[in-house]
Amino acid sequence: MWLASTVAYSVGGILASAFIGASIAGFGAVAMPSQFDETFFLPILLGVCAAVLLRELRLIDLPLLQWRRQTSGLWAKVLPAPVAAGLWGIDLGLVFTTWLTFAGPWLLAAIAFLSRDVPFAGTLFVTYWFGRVLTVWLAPLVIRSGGDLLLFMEVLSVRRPLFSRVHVSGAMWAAVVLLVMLAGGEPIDGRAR
Amino acid sequence: MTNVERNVPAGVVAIAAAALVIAAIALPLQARAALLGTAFLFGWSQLPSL
Repeated sequence: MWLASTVAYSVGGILASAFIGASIAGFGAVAMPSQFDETFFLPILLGVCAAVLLRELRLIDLPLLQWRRQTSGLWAKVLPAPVAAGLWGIDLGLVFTTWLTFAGPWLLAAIAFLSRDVPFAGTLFVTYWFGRVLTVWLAPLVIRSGGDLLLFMEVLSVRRPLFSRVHVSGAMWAAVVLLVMLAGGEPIDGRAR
Repeated sequence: MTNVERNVPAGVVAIAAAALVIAAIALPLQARAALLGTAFLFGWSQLPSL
């Protein structure tokens, strides 16, 4: 039952994440003129990246734009476990329809929008989902009993600063990559110049 | 300190470090692909609910 539910959860999230990434890029392709100078986009993304970094380092007080809702616990009570897990995957895979812990997904949305590259943006959000769902796949390595599960959740809560540092390292890495792209003249839409 | 208390933080750091190493390998090949490392780390650091 655990395996079926975890697979359903993962697949639901992959589909939803691919959809949200591709949709944002598709919207960008419609909204942004194709002849727009790509070199203009990288400084914008560096600005968004800096805002995420400064926020997560608590150097600026920037409210997090988010939909303040949780996925429905009711599904587990009225639906078979794999179906409920699949629906949770879809709901959480949509990224912006539930609580965000940190601001990073908005940087991914900015990258997806300005890339206007549907396959790349879909891959970007699916990769985000892989990171998110990996915890569920790895949890059995440390959870051996009901008591371990409670302790696991407590450790995650107590260790929030550690997760914050991982998030900051992700944003710092994005800044490095964007600077390399800016220096090398590689456009965010992936087209050769 | 229990196994959970010891292994969870170590695992979080180890996987984050592995993701950064893979992204660093991708950087000279196609810089844009290295942004996937950021996407993974953002997902990995999103506190999960089981």
